[in-house]
Formats: sequence, C-alpha cells, structure tokens
Amino acid sequence: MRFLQKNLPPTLVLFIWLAACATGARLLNDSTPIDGSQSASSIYLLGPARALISETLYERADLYFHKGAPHKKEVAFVGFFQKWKQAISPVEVQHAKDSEVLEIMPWLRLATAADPKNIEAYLVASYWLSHECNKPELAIGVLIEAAEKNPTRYEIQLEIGRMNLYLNDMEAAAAAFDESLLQQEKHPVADPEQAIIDRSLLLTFRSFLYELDDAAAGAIAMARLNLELYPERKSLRDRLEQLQTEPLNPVRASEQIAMVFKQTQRSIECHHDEHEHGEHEHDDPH
Amino acid sequence: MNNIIIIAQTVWLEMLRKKDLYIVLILLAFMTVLLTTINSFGTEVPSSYILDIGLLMTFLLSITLTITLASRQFPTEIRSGTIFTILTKPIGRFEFLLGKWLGIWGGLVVANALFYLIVAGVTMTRGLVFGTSTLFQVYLLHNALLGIIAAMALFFTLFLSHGAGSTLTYISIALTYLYLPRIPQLLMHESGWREKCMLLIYYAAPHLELFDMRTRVLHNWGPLQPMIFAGTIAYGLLITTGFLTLAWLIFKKKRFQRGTLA
Repeated sequence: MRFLQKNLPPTLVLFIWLAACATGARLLNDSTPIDGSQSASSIYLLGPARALISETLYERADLYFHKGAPHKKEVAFVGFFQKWKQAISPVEVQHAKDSEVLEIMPWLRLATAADPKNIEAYLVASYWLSHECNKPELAIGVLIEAAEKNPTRYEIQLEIGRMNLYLNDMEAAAAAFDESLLQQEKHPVADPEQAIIDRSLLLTFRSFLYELDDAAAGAIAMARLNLELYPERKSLRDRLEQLQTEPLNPVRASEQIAMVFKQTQRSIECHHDEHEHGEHEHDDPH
Repeated sequence: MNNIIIIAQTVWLEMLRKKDLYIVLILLAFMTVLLTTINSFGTEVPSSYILDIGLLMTFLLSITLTITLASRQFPTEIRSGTIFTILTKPIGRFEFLLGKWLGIWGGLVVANALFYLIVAGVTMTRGLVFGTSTLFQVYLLHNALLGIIAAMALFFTLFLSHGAGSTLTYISIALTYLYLPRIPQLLMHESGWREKCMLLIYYAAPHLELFDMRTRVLHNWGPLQPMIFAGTIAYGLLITTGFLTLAWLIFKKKRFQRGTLA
C-alpha cells in the first residue's frame, strides 16, 4: 500500500497506457488484416499504437495533398469563433500539383515506418511517385520494400504488375500478376469484396498478357476463371467465346491491356481524390 | 515598475539556474536534426515536414516549460518562506504577481525565439523557402498563447498545490484546444440542456486554437491580415488580463502562515 502511495503517478500512467492499448486493440481488431505473419499477442501489444500513429501520419499526408485545408465536417452552426479561425487557417480545398506532391512523401515514409503493415501508404506513395512525379524507378523501389515487409498481401504484387505495365515490361508484369493470384489463394484477404474485384482485374490482365504471348491455353484458362467470378457478365462470356473460336490477336490484346490500364488508372485517381471526403465534385459518373 | 522588473529578474535568474530550459533546447535541436535524416523514398526535395514537426515540438515543449515554470512560482516561495521576506519589503502584491508573470513570459519569449531559430535554421538548410513574415506572426501569436498559459498557471497555483495547479492547467489547455473547437460538430447530436451548456462553454471559454496559425506558414498561405492579427493579439491580452485579475483578487486577500503549503 505504501509502495502504491509513493508511486501513484507512474502507476496511474501505466494503468492508463494499458487501458489505452486494450481499447485500441479492441477498436482495431476487426480491421486488422489477418495475414498469418503476426501473432495475436503482438497485434494486441504493439499493433494498435503503431497503426494509430501510422494512420495519423497518413492523414497528415492527405492534409498536405489538400494544401492544409481540412476535410469539411458537418456542424450545427457556424459561429463567431469558427469564422475567426477560418480567417486564420485556410479552409478552401486545393490540390497539390506536380512537384508539390512530393511534400506528402515524408509523411507517407513516416507512416510506413510507424507501421509497415500500412500498405495503403506504400501504394499511395508509389502511385504519386510514378505518375505525378514521373519517378517510376522510385515507385518500384517503394513497392519492393512493401512486398518485403508484407509478403502475403496480394495488393502489392497487383500494383507491381500494374507498374510494370506502365513501364512496358510485360514479362515482369505477368510474373507479378501470377504471384498476386497465388497470394490471394494462399492467404486470407483483408477485404473479401474488393479481393473479388481485384481478382477479376488480375485475370483480365493475365488473359490478355497470355494472348500477347501467343499462349491460347493460358488466355482461355484465365478468361474462364474470370467468367466463373461473374457468370452474368456478357463481356466476359464474349471474351471467352472469342478466344475459343477465333485466332489470337496480340495487337488487339495490347490495345485491350492499355485500355483496361487506363480505366483502372482513372478509378485510382478518383479514389485518391475523393477518399474519405465528399466535397469534391466530379462530372465523371464513377 | 522597478519592483516589477526586480521580481521578473529573479524569475529569469531561476530560469538560467535550473536545467529545464537547457534540456528542452538540446532535446529540440536533437529531434529537429534527427528529422533531416528521414529518407522520403529516395526523393530529395525541400520539405516543410521538418518545419511542421519542429514547430509542433516547439509548441508542446514551450507549453510544458511554461506550465512547469509558472506553477512552481508561488508554491516554492511559500514553502521556502521567501514570500514573507519579499512581501514585507515595499513591494505590493500586485507588483509581485505582475513581476512573476512578466518574468515567466519574458523569459519564455526569449527561449521561444531560440526554439524558432533552431527549427527555422535546420529547415532552411534543407532548402525550404517559407514566408519569414508569416513565421514571425506565428511566433508572436505563440508568445501570446504562452502569456495566457502563464497567467492561468499562476492563477490556479494560488489556491492549489504545485502538482494540482499544473495538472489543472494541462487539462484546461487540452480541453480548450482540443474539445472547444469541436463543439459545433458535437452539437449536431445534442439537444436540450446539454446543448445550452455546450453553447455556454463554447462562447465563455478561451479559444486557444486561435493562437495557432502554423498552417499558414506550412502551406505558404501568406501572412495574416493585420486587422485579424491585431484582433487575435488583443483577444490574448484580454484573456491574460482576465486570469491575472482573478489571480490578483485571490492573492490580495490570501493570508500566509509560516509552515503551510499553498
């Protein structure tokens, strides 16, 4: 009892820290991907704090992308003090362009350092490095690091494949897509719904890459697996029928790869622009 | 006025004698230099992240330093008995209180200038171009904030012990900085007496978030309009005066007995 009286402040701090860890673990437990590489105890003791810090740093990157303007939030009233604060700190939504985007990189770096399992930070970094900053060699490096630290996440191999398509290295792209498909089968996924969409995309790319390589059996097998995912889709049925009845057309396959790549590119760009805030207006229906 | 300066000088001497300031300075310099070692995925560009994290640390460390310094003033004087010697000399209680506040605030203004020089200097070595006039405004508003906090801590420790006073100051700052600006959002889900209470708190409590304009310098939004800047400084002066007045009202009626703690 005397010991407790003498050491009350550190005991309280320890107790609060343990309570915070337990609460964080409870809150994050549902969203933590189960990839088999972490033991349950490490998730509970280190995961929550690291994930929370990483998420905060990731949000900071987002703030820099919007040049300091926070996301709009619903408020009951706009009072005198809010107007005053708005005059002091900017609220108009703007987007960083060209080399300004590089400002977000240190925050993404810190986010991945805090929690290497935060693959969203890796993927966003690689996207902006390859596109807006035109540094694909750095983007590939980011993805390789992400893959080393998250060897069971199919999303990274999918992005490595896409990056290689962007760099016109079809062989490397095909290898990455194969690896991604394999990982999806071998390991549990974080978001099953998104995994099905991504699997369809992987099979589409892989089928066209087989066609480009003049490998009919592989192209047909991939198209068939894709149709199994979405049996109601006419475009997938037509694709399979075309491969079975007509000779392979590598030129068309190349055009199709470019088209699918552009489509998915646009959806990623919109995702990065719109994620978690609805204040942007787009004419684009997607 | 002379008496106020003399009291302030004792606080400055105390600041120089104690190790707090040096520790904070070394800590800030070390952490800011450490930030330059971050490899941002191989990109070599001047970045405002050093300024951002550096200023955040400056805010946190200077607030901690202010509370530590201000909350020990009266309890230490009372515990050591020096308050009896000082108050028997021809020094008024108002002069004593104001001298203490001026000593704390003046010392922190200088210390804060050193903090800003370290952070701005390290940032500039990485090639970042930022608005120096905007940064100067950030510094001035930051100083106004420290003035409020010093007055608040002095006020609390006039009727609480050192530990309780500093804890209450920390809690008050956290609440006014983090909770108060969110009241308009929280009111979306409240009604009745809770809504009225929250509205009352929103308008009555000091809005310390107004003294943080780091965003403007970090994202190159330029300096604040002079009228808004002057208004914010005046608001800070008003809150500081309010806390000092409350402190003086307690202090002038306070009876000290030898051997008792504050």
